[in-house]
Amino acid sequence: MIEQILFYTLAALALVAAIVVIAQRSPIYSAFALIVVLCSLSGIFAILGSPFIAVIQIVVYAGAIMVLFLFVLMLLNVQKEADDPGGSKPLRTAAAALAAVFAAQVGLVIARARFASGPEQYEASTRKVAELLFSPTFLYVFEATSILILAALVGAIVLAKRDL
Amino acid sequence: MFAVDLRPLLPALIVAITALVVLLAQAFTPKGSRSPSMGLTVTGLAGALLLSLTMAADARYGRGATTGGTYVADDFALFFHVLLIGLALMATLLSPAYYRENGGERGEFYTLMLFSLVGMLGLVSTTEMISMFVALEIMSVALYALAGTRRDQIESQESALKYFVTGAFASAFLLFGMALLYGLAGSTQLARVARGVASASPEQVPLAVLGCGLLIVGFGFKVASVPFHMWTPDVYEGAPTTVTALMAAGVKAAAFGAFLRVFPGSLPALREEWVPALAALAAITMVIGNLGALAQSNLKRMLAFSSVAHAGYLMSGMVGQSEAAGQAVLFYLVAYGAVNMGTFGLLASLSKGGREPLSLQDVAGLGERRPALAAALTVFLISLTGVPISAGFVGKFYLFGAAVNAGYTSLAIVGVLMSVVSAFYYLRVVVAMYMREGEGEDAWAAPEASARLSLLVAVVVTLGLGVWPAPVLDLARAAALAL
Repeated sequence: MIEQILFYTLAALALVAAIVVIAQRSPIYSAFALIVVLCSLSGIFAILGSPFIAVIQIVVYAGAIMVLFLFVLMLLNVQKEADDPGGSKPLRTAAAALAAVFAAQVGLVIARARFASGPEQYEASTRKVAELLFSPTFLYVFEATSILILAALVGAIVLAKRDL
Repeated sequence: MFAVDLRPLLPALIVAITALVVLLAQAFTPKGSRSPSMGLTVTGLAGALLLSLTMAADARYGRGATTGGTYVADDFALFFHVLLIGLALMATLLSPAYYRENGGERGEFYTLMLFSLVGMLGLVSTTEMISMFVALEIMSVALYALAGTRRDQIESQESALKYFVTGAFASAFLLFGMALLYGLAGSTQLARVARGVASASPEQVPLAVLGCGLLIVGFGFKVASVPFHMWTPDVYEGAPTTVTALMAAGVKAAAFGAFLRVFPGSLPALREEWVPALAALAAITMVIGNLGALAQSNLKRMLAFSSVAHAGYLMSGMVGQSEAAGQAVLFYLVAYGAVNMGTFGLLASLSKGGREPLSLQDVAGLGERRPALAAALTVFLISLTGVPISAGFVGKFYLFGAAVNAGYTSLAIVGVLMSVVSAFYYLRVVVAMYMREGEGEDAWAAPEASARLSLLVAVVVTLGLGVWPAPVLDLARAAALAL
């Protein structure tokens, strides 16, 4: 019962904050709203019995990555977004309508769906995560992720620096 | 402890190590001296190609092996390994001259290209959705950066940014689709997803269909099919031409590889749901791609729309029953890859002093002044149109044949009609080369030996597959059977 109350509170908070992220004109406020989203999600992970993922979510996303976002925003001195967000009005209306239809569709399907692993067989302890992460099944992903990060790093430097 | 069979990973591993070696070699090369990057890249790629061929030859060398049940070296994966590494090798040979003429040859370029190849190889080899996603991101992230490597040009910057934003958007759809299928099957392994979907209860079917739909959106972006093609002309136009060649040939092949593994390979239970969707997408893609190309005066933009149109032809082949469809798509990817690498490569190797031949007037008189290159470009354009004795004809014949056998005759009719339309804009270039007088001095570079070799390979493959397609068709069939 308490779990459910907690879940719905956190889920509602995440949704509202997510809407603020895209509705807010000032990028700094958007970034702060994103922190709220990430913290709420972290709470949901904690309810699901996965403290490791919950903590990582806070440390990596809400912590490191958001600080980086804010640094960049402040360094670039980004002011309020221009009043005209671009695109013609009919196009924007159509996009909003399409997004609403899509959201309704996804909502309907998920509300009625029956997922494979119910909460009773769910286990996400730190030990379980580690066993999976270092198992042969995820060997490729584990190694490939480091290539992904290196590729992103090299790419960013190539784009940012004129002469190396 | 458990023993893990690492053999399937070896080609990708060699490519990744080459990328690191190139990166380090670049750092230790004194300014002004000749960069060893290209030589190292070619050596590494040749090694990886040889290894892939050896593996494909015999089960003793790893054919059919899997790493941890998620990364396989089946016939399907090895077919793509040879194709993708070959394409990367051709792009590497074409690149140094292009970069020298257009400013700034840099070793990082080769590193990023090799990284993107690692991603492509992973994309066609994994049988698990998280691995597939990470591989897709490696390929994409490296290409986003590559698209922007001509830093002095605003178009190149625009290209990188557009590709990045739309690509990230598409990745989100793909990930959402994967998450829904995971929710249904309780596993990210494609084999278990297949079982989960096949035994789905009636109330689970909407979930599977929604997941499928989102995956089609994600893959649709990557293969540039309508209506997810908006980024294609701008990105292809702004990116350095040899990178465009790799995008058009390599990315399309790798994305279709994953597309085939997921849809006909793992979701045959939902055929009735996704085949009509794919058929409709294929039809509008062929129509809009070809009509869009008609309106272009810039050659790179025209080829970008042509690449959209070809995504449509390929998707109309996927509508067919799994094995014949797979064979047709795989064969066409080889033909299309060689032709596109050749076309973009030829335009790239003609560019001189920062000026690329981009309009019809820029290639006017090529037939008189550079008969060999004009003949090569004619072969490529004829193959893109799908005229007999070229690889394009045989490829389209099998693609449309697969569609007809699956009962989609109308799709084949649309395809043939649109091929006729495409003849107009492809042959317009040929006419300009042979019929129009060039103005003033010729402003084209003479392609150097490595670029000529690459173009020669493209011509030989294009004509060879047109005249004697049987061996590659057999290989494609064997590869499609492995799905």
